[in-house]
Amino acid sequence: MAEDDEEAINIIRFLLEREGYELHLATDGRQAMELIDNMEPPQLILLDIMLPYVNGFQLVTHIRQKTEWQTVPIIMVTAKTSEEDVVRALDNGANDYVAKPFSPKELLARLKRFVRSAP
Amino acid sequence: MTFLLLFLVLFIRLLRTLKERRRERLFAVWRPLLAQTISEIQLEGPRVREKDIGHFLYLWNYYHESVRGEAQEHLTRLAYLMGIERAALRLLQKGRISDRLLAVTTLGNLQAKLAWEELHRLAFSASPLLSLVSARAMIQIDRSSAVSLLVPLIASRSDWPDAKLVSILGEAGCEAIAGPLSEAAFSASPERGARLIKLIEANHCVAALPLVRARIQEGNLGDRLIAACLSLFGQLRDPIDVEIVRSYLRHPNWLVRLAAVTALGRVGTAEDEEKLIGLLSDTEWWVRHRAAEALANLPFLSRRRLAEIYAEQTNPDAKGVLAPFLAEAEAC
Repeated sequence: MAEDDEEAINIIRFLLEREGYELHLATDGRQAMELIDNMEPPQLILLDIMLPYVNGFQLVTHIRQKTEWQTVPIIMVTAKTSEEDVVRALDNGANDYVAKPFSPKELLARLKRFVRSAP
Repeated sequence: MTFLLLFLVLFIRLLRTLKERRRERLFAVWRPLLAQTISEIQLEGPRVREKDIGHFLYLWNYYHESVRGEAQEHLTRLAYLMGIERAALRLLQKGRISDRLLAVTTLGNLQAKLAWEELHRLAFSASPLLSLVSARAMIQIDRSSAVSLLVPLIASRSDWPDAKLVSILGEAGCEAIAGPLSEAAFSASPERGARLIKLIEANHCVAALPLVRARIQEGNLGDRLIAACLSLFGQLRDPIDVEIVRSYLRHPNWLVRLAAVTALGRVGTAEDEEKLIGLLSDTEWWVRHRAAEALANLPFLSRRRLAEIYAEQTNPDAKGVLAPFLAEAEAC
């Protein structure tokens, strides 16, 4: 997960760990780039759009350029809900989005759908 | 004297450090509890001391505004069980603006009807921040009553930023704002009316269109208000409005023509091609520019046709304004 809002991290971390997921966290775009370049592809990526240094759109493009990460589902978690942002994120290669404020149940349902259908 | 000053500095730093530690301790206890509360109803938690109530409310509000639906209801229920409504009302009586803002935000998130009168009073406060936050709290408590009471303020308070108003009115929802805002827009001054129409537009409030349509067809509106209505028609893209938009393409005020041509770029059909070509020779650069942009973005107009239109132009102004859009189309 790439997210810079401390409280959003706490909430999402609690929800995911409770469901048994292991979370790798980047709190800015640079850290996210390092994670992407140095770790094995995860089951799923949660990305905020507004991140320091490297934004979520750029991260999606970077992820989709890496052969072994190309099929990893990406869910954008963002406060920006304008149609243009959603379209841009999906155009860049994201699979879905969740708007903040979010429903924890909805986030988990979307996440489980992708994790279940992962190869 | 030096020792006294040194002592005072050290004392203030000590107080700040202690306050910071208290905050960290409270956050360490309450972060996991609040995170748990958003998943399931939490019936109790450790008592929050009066001097820590500000820190707790900050955290509670942050969590409350990060989630929606059932999770938010769980947090609200926990707060009522803890007596947070009364604590927020006490905090509201304090002098510091930060305390009052926190209290107002909490009362809004709690939808505390008990605080309605006080919030209504504060919405008229001279402080732009306190009044705006109070207006938002009123909308959270009772959106329809709040919008009706707040419309005169929304139109007149130039110190309320439009972006914040858009967000607050978005929380109220289109159904609650469509009637009061559009009716007020046509009884206010053209400047204030235009502001109200722009707020309707920013919230993509389709329910306001019938009244706006009827009023613009009645005529006798100020130019600024007409331009705002045309912009609204362009943004909301109801094909019914295309005739109204076309009727303003030759208006004597170039700002109205500009709004009309911009709107036509969004709602126009194949038969508007000639009208837009004609506007490439308008006396105002902005109108020419928007006409060129509208032509280039018409979904049914091919790149070849755009090149033909360019070649057909004898007016250098028209050619000049169309050239960059043609270049851009050819580069794609």
